[in-house]
Amino acid sequence: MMAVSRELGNSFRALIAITVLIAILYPIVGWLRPGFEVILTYGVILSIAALGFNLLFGYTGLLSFGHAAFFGIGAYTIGLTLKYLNLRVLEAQIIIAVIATLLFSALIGSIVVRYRGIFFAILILVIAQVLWGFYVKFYHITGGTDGLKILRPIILGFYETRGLGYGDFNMVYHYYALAWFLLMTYLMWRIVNSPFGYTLKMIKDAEDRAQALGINTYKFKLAAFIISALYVAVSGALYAPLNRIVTPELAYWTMSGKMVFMSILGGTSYYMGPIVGALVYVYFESIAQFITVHWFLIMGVLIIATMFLAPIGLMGLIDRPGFKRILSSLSKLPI
Amino acid sequence: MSLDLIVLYTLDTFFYASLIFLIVSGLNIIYGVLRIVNLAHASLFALGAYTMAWITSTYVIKIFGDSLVGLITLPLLTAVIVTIIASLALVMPILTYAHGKGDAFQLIVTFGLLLVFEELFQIIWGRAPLAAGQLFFMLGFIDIVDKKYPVYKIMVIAVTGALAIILWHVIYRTGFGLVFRAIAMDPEMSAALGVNVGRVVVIAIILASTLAGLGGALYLPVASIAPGVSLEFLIIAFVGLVIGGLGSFTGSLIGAFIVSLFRILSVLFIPELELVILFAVAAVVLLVKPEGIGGGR
Amino acid sequence: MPVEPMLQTSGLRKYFGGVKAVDGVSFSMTGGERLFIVGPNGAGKTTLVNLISGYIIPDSGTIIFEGRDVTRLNLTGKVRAGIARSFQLVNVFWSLTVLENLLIAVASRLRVNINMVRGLESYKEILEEALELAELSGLTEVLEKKPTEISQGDRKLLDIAITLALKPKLVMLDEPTSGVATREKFEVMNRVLKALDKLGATSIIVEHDMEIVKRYADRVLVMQEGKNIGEGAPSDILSREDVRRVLLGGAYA
Repeated sequence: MMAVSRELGNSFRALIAITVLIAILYPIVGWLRPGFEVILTYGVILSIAALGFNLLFGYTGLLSFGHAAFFGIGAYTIGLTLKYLNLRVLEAQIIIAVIATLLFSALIGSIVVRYRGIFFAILILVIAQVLWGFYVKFYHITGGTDGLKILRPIILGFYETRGLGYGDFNMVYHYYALAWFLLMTYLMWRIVNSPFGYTLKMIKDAEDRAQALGINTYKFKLAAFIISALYVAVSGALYAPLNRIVTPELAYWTMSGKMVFMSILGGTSYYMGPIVGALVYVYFESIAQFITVHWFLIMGVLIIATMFLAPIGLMGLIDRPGFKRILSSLSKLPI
Repeated sequence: MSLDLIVLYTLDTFFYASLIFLIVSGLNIIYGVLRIVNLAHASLFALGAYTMAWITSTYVIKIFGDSLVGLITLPLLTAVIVTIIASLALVMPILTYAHGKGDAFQLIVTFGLLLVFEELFQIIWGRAPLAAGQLFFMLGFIDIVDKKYPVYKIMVIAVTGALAIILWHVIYRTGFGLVFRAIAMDPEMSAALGVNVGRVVVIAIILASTLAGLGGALYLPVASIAPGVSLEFLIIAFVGLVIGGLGSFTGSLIGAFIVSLFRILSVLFIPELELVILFAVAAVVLLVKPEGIGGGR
Repeated sequence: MPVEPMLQTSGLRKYFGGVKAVDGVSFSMTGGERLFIVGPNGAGKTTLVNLISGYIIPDSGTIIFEGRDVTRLNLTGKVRAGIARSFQLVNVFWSLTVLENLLIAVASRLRVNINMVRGLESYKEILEEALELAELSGLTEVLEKKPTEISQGDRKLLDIAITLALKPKLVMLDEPTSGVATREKFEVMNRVLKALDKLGATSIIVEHDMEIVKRYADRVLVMQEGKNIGEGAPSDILSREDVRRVLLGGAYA
């Protein structure tokens, strides 16, 4: 018996569909508009971060304005392991980033998840700013505002990407990132539909009631915090080689703002929300940058507009009955 | 540490406490009437500072030359007026719409507003730090024990002290204050009793932005204003807010003073860890006394 | 042979500032009993429930449950000992469907919440139990709906069903029919008590409605100003002159 009916934004089929779409679209976009296909790769990578952010916000009810901290740890681990250990095997670097983030987020999380609302939001923001200050000030280690250059990595433990041309590297890296996307989104799908995931939703809806069911909500919030941080760190680590440089900007509070925006844009109460939000976001950003360098002004306005006009996000709009009817009539068409 | 240094650092503590008080008290006033912690509030402080820098270096010097009266009155007045206008035009509609919509909603929209302000400042005034220290130098220094201390900072402490007394009077001794406190305690009841909540909100926003704008303007002559300053002061003010307690007037004073003290001490001994120390202070206060030192009405 | 009491409180006391919310309450219950607590507003009924369920810790006095001193156990400790309660205001998981609410409540008792990979709906034993619970509480028709989409009576039943999912030995219900339309009240109460009987749980029920008290109580405990002013069979205690005065002076006119 399939007990629970699902909205499109919370269906596994939608996840599969979007993965296939990302795979197919890459060459098509590159053919239509050369240079625009790499934006898709950025979207794939950032959606992992947004998904992590939303485990904490959309599922657990903890809004963080400091997740850039973990993105920074992911990205800088790539830079620093390259600089000091001469390590270029990306998976090994990612594992180091994961371990570093695990320790750091467990330490910070054990303090900040005791708080809710504004207190949680700002305390984590302070931590992020501390790390950002570290990247800026300790320039002999981090390269300061100039950042660290990232060389082409070795992927899958053996595949050297150094000799590849620009376009070839981008394509290889796109499908490599997509593999990570598939792994991370699948794991997240399992997590949110498991008893653990439902427990997080209980905490968001009524923490006191969850406690009345004998649940130690602190431990669950801490676990959600750590998982969320790991997702963001993996995203940051994957971001670095594509970006070819790691700068403090990746750990700045505006980066946290991007994660907030991607999630609300897609719809925080939907599993698919942050993924769709991230993919739409990256194209928003690149198109806007043709017009102005002041993207954050537009983003600020869009954040406010989204909250005012469609707080349910894009997935919420899609789930409205009218749209569903169109969709179901489309799916009946013989293709 | 010798006596003269202790006196100087004490004065500096009061000086920073004054600036922080001007932000925290405004945050608290807004929280009182709307139950919103406005993340963009420190941006109004930055706006005051930007306006001060801009008007001092462009018009004031041309018109008034070295006249002290001109240097004080015109820039401060302009800074306050600009802040009030920006506040009424940009902040008020968003806060009134966000009223009663829940924590997350309010945090996200005011965060959006923070981004908007930050970018607007850069569009209007660029990314390079702006300064205008004329006022600071013109007022000169006085001898305290063996050291010289800027008269300007003492003036700021005095002005803020006077403002705190006026604010106390407004909140606790006037008709507006009575209505304000009634709303802060029970908004629905006040509305049911026929209080014009809308008007009180407007006045509260004007009051809060006046304090923040003035704070920024007073801050500028001793420092410079650049991107990122809003966030720095947001964090400091927030820690002050936590220490003092949300929605408490005396809490604003106590919180501002304590956070300033920690700031001066950390800058003195371990400047790299300033933010870490502020974080620890906020976390400990929240854990031990969640309603803050001045809170718990 | 004297029956060992299941629950025994003695001299329970909780002051809030100057307010003596619960002021030296002693009573005991045997297993399977159904005790109703009545009294005017502010008599300390909810505080008493909060004390026994571990929401607040008493200033003094003791709570003995199944021969064990549980006075200072917190909420989680009390739940694990077998004491559970529902709330005066409906407090359910609003973003989950009725079935999901029940599934996760059962999962909480079985302590599988920590599992991160297996789908909640794939646990056969949990699903079966949740469906059984739904059947018992009469929620079968609304399983797929969100709590926002069902009637107030059903919400109350869901709230209580979540509590019952813990299979507690002692259940405390804080005004199970408050906010429920008059015509629904007896229906709700019938279903609740049927479920309680099925579980064989001992119950403490705070109730305002004297009709319901008279009809369903085994025993009644009357509270006034934080004190236990009398207990006994409903027919005896409710006809006592002083009790009538207290109750009529309150909300029972």
